[in-house]
Amino acid sequence: MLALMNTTPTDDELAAQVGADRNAFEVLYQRYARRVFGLLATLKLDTHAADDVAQQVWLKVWQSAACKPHGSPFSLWLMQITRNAAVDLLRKRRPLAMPEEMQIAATGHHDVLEDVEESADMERFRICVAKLPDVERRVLQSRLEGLDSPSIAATIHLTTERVHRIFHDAKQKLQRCLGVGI
Amino acid sequence: MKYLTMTLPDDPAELRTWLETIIAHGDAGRLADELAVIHPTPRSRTVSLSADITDAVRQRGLTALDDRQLQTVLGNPRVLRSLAEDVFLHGGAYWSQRFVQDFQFDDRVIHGWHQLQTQLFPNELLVTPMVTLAVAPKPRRTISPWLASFATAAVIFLAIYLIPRSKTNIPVTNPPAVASTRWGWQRADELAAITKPADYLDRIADLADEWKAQQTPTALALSERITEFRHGCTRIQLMEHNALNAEQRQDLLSRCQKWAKKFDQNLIDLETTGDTEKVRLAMDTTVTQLTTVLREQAVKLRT
Repeated sequence: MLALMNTTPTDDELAAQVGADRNAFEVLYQRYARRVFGLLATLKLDTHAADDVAQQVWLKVWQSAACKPHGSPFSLWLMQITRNAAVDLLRKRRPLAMPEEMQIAATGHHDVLEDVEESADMERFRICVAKLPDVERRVLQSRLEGLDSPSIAATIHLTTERVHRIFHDAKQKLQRCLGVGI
Repeated sequence: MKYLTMTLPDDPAELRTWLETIIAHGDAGRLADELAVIHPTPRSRTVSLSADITDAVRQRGLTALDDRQLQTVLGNPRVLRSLAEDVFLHGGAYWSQRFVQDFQFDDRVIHGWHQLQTQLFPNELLVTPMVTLAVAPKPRRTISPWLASFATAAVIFLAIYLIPRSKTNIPVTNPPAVASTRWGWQRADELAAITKPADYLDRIADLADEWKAQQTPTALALSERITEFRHGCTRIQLMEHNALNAEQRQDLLSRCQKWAKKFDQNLIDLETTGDTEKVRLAMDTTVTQLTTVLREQAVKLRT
């Protein structure tokens, strides 16, 4: 019995009991459910799809965790089946794969995910960014690359204060264009 | 839609924290999309972080990146996506802690568990995960606290809490009076007798767990219990915590401030919507989170 053990059980000790011991399953769920949802969100599954995939994943854990490949840590195995389930779903949603996408797909799941169609919101974002004057776009770009105002100022030959002002103007213009608050 | 670019901090020194939060909240994919708009020039597919750097990020978070490496991540949406996925797949204890500390996804975690229970254990009553901790005496230095004494906890839990909320929908027409004695962090003065930091944090968690034994059949009862818990939270924040060193004390206080905001928001939500089920669930989630964090800290201190 897990409860009689003297130390906190490891993931793999718990995984070995899953399928027969619902307590072990519940502990693993508690340890990793947030991580599963986080990965699915990172892969840009919407809430409904992510909930469905998470269910599939945890059902698979219940059915197969005790038989997972020997030597593979439970957490890695779990996150890999999560990722695979998400990628499968995204592929099914794009029935007409373009040749380039297929080519990219051959190199790995990651690139397939990048090419998911943009939402209307992203299109609006693209339009709003395009409306920014060049200098504002360039400052925003530089700030998003992690450069501070003095470094940007030195690059585009403006004062630091001016760069700071341009950055704020750019953010405000984007905010107005997108109709959102900062 | 929330545009993440709009939340870009004014101070570049805050970029790492900002980006780390975005990654931990599962928003890196969307930020990468925005970055791809801001940086329209196709980047080389060969740009990446070295294995050493990636490994350091897995262990220590984005503080492992120097300025140039951070620029590589922010300037290349592909690298950002890859790094974010990597920390979910391979991230160590640092990221595990990071994933739980902001209460992200908690409602969905609980909802998902209820669905799993329905599918896998259809003959059992619905149990909110970790609610079993509510009345389980926490074993010291043994096992994850909410596993131990599960059977005992479940029996007591069923008796005092779960049955009124179970699928049988037994109406609570005349709920038992709530004990008027102090409970939870209102009894924080008991902490003064504890000298070991790990035991101290465990005891704070034990006291917080008493929330789960509180019955809240009406909105008014729920608001009273939240208010009492919130007052207890103030008490914790104003105490000296002599068992803890300065760093541990500061860590506890900063967490307490976050929890206090959650309690305040839950009370506002209750007053605004009157939705007792939803607010109770939110409170259960918050309490579960904070007890988990405290106990994990205690475990760390012991190892």
